[in-house]
Amino acid sequence: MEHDSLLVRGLVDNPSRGLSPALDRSTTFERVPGGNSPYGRGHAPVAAEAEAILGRLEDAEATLFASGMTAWTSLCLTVLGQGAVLVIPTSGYYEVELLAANVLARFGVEIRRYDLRDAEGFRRACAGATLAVVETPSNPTLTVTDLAAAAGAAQAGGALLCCDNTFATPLVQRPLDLGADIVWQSATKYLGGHSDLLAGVLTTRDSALRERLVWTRRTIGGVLAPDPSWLLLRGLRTLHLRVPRQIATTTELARRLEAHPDVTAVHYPGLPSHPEYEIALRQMPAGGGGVLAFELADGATAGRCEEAVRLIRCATSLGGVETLIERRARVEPEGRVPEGLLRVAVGLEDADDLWADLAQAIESAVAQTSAAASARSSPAASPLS
Amino acid sequence: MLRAVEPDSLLVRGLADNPSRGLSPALDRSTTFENASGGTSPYGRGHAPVAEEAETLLGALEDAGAAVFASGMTAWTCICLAVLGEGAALALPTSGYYSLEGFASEILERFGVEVRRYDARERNDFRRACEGAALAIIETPSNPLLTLTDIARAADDAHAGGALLCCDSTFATPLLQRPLDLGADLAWQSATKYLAGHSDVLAGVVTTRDDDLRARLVWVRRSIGGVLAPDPAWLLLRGLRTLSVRVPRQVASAAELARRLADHPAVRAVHYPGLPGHPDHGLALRQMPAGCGGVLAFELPDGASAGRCEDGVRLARCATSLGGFETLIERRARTEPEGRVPEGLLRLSVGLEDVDDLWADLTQAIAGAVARADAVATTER
Repeated sequence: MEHDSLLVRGLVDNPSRGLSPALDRSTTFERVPGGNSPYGRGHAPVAAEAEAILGRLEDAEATLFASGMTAWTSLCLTVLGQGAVLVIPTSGYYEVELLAANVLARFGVEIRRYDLRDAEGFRRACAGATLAVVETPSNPTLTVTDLAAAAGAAQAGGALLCCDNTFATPLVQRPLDLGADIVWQSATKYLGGHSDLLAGVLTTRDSALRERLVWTRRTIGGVLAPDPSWLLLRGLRTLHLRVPRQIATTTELARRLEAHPDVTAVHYPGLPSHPEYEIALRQMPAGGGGVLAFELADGATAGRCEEAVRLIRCATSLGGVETLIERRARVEPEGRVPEGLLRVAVGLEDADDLWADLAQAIESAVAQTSAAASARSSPAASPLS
Repeated sequence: MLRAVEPDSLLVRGLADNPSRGLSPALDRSTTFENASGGTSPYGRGHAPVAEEAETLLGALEDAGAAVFASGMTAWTCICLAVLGEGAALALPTSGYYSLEGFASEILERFGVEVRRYDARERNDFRRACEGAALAIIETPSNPLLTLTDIARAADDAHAGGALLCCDSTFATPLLQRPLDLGADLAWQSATKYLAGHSDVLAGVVTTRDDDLRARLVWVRRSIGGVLAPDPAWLLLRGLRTLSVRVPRQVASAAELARRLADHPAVRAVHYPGLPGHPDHGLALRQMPAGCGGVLAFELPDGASAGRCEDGVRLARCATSLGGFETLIERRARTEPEGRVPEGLLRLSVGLEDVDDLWADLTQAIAGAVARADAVATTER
């Protein structure tokens, strides 16, 4: 069965014979004869339906969590410990840095940081490490990492390799096929697809590891609640239509932005100018994803641009039906990203409508910047002159 | 001004108005929000309007700040991650909710936390465990033996040792017990139980009057994504509307059933702090004057008869959990680690059914369980 059909048909039938999945909110269930009574932290039937589909998409087992960060936290609590070594990138999703520096380090975990573009630095960091995470494409500069090489380096060092596959999705990239041990996604983004649920997923082909993850999840109560599970299932029905459409639009917008005179840089793995374009072609043959970043002259211009959009929404997050723009320097720890960088998560709107909106927002921002510069360089004339 | 009304009124009125002027709270599932001019765009892990309504209400119930979480254990996990670290010590009871032991031994110890286990019946044991500790947890009434701990005294002992005191008040609820009034630093509940009240929501809540501590808990919650999702948050709010009529009714029925069970010839023991014979009855009168909760435990002669009893109920349901509208019975030795509870102990979480109907159901289940025991014994002879 192709992915398209899998997503549409699902893997579990509703006992009612209805075509819409049952939504069971029970936190407790009558005791099974000879057994025990399941409890909501350990038995979540709606979430299990979604896990079955997500696992099959990667020919692996999937485990769903209350959010992407809950999934990551559960992985850390499962495999790390006092004296363990965690390898994280210096640029990538910043919440990973915050959890490492403010929580894990306090519990005796050694944090080693590597530059996403420094493969040798990554290899060194993995020596004797317990867990390493790569993020490809990365947030928000869309850096692409050679996964097979990273898997080799991690394995050589004795570390498990986790790949954050949020920006790509399993339809575009399957890190387990390239040697990663665990794949991690914020299902809040493309999988849920409608900006109305928080969820996280880990997939792995290591059954023993999965059992431990499930134990941790039950112990810390990191299960995905029934309602968001049901909405996630609903979102998955159209994943195979949404993602390719978003990729096509993003590719087109990236090309047009690259040609725009006021745009100083465009970051998109689908552009031949991208530093890791060749790797992206191999690793993500279906396309470079639905997120791009572009830079304007400076932070002030970028700030005006994000406020000037009318069709596009100025909000954080990505992967949903609506196109979002966000100046990342505003939200990330200082110095992590260029001041003038704008991240665009492309939605399902008409590409030309989106281009018209971007173009007018850039034009407006640049004009305001020029006006401000002119005002500064030509002091106001004295009312007496 | 609204905070000066009785809990009953507070729970009904709530503290937030729906901008639509509707009387039912808005259910906003947004994970992202447009950027406020000059500010940032809130994200679902840090901004959860429906959950915030629930926590504002729960905080007001205890004259404190509250934070709600995806489950009771998520709340506890966030407390531990916020307050502990490698080399820090945690004081934990040897008997109480067993998931705490699992989390401590399988996770916290691996991260360098020194876990000190104390016998809740021995004050000196607790004091010793608190010396130089970062955090101590007590559970009162406890699960499943319904023992009570003197919260004020425990707070003194914990603070003398330098530890924060967290009190698991799940079995009591804020209507029957306010640990913060007695010196606890944190009050913790599985809101899955009485607060939501309908066995359809997993949630946890922590209350505290320490703003810094609350800020740290909220930071950790955001970091690990332990927020309560909008739908269960909305259902929690809905459940809270009837908390002040459900709990007193459950307490009354539990007290009556405890009395009748204490007189039943086949029942070996009954554990309910409201019974005069209970070892902590005096403390119960002081600490829980409005009632001792809706959970009781009773013992049949052995595990086999207790097992037959739980399978023999028809109105009550044989399932785990507690605090919901339906009465639940469960033989705890079946679910807890071996040796922790007596084999013949049955925990009863009393619901909202008619008390005489419940008594009829219990007596027929007990009779059936004991009769078969006699029959087995006869055939064995």
